[in-house]
Amino acid sequence: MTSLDQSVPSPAPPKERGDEAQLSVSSLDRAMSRYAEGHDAAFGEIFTALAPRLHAFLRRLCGSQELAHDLMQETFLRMHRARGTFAPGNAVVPWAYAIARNCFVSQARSLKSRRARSSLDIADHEVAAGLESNAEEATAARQSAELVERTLAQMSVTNREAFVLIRFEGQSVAAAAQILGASEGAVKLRAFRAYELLRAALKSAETEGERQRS
Amino acid sequence: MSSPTDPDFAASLGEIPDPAGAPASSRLELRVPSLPSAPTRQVVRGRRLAALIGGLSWLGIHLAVYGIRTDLKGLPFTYVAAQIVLPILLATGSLFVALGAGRLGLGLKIGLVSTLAVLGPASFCVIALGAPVPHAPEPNSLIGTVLCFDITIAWVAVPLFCAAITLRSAFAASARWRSALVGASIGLFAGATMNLHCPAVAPVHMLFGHGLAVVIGAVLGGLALVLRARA
Repeated sequence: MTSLDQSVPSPAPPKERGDEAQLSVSSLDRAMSRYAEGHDAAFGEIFTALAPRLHAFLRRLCGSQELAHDLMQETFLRMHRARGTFAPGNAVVPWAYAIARNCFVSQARSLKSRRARSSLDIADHEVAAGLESNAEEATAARQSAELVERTLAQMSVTNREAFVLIRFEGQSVAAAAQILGASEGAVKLRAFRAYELLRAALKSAETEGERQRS
Repeated sequence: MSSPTDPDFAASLGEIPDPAGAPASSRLELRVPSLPSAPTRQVVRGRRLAALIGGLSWLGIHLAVYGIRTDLKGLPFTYVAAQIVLPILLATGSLFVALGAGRLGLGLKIGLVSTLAVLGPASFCVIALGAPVPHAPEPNSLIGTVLCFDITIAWVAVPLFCAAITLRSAFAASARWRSALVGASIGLFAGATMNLHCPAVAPVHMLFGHGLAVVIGAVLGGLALVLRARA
């Protein structure tokens, strides 16, 4: 039996991860391999490294902090159950994303999820606006992020998950296609459709803002 | 609307801000519950091997008990190749493709998996209907066809049950198609075994008595096995 209760830092955006992250990913894969072979102690390492990423991924998919937390717990339970099937020498991150996505899809199919989605807790997050010094810019960035989250929530799950994996999780089109169980062309098209919806929503908001200012 | 073709596709999406860029709390309180025991890689491998041996033995023992068709030696090579050898090759290939780890450990390409899952059972049925009959077909017997169907389904059921036990949480991605391919593989093995036992050559008998169970195997894989096999 394994039990962990710990705090972990929030994830850095994928684009900012460098060579160090590549090394840690490699050691993470080795840790998963050890865990698959029965070394329970390796689970802590896997959990610490993956929990923030999976939480952020699930939060982007479901739009709710609490739901993302529950889904993340479920993801780790499923990873634990499936550890013996983890193929040696492979990367744990895409595998974990695929399982997290399965959890989200199961949840999204239930009526309970639809109710939860109607009350997105978009107010409890802040935009990564570290360098924005004035309140106006911060407010604008926050409004953009809220708009992105609302638009993501309104689009189809297939388009949303493709876009989130490629844009926010730093996965290649090929990796996203493997995770989603779809062809690369289909995933590219889904992400592009999501992008067009988001771009249209942002442009519309921008036009509306300019109109109000003038 | 057209799909973008530039190589750095992700970069073209970069203008969309990240709504979850930084959670309000810089430290997330994450807690993992107590985890029940789960099989390790060695245990999973052992179970899969046992299921494979068990499934093949199930077919082999039944074939030994029921006997190989008496007209086998007199059949043209092309007929044997199309009705028996090809399904066995397809079944073996399907099993390898379904269980293959692929580049990221998430299985082989979905196009290959889904094509094989459809092509395997479909080819069995098309050959059953379209292959030249080697000798005058026996008169159609509904009871004979139903009997063959029942036996083939039974031959599918037990290996499929073994697969359901041993492939628990095996497929993190493309679970439905990979499960359907496992079902198709089992169906093809059972269908080929039935072709090796039953001397009937009438196309209708071959289709409904032998081929239908192959299709049902694939469908059961995609609808039922997936419930256990999805991680």
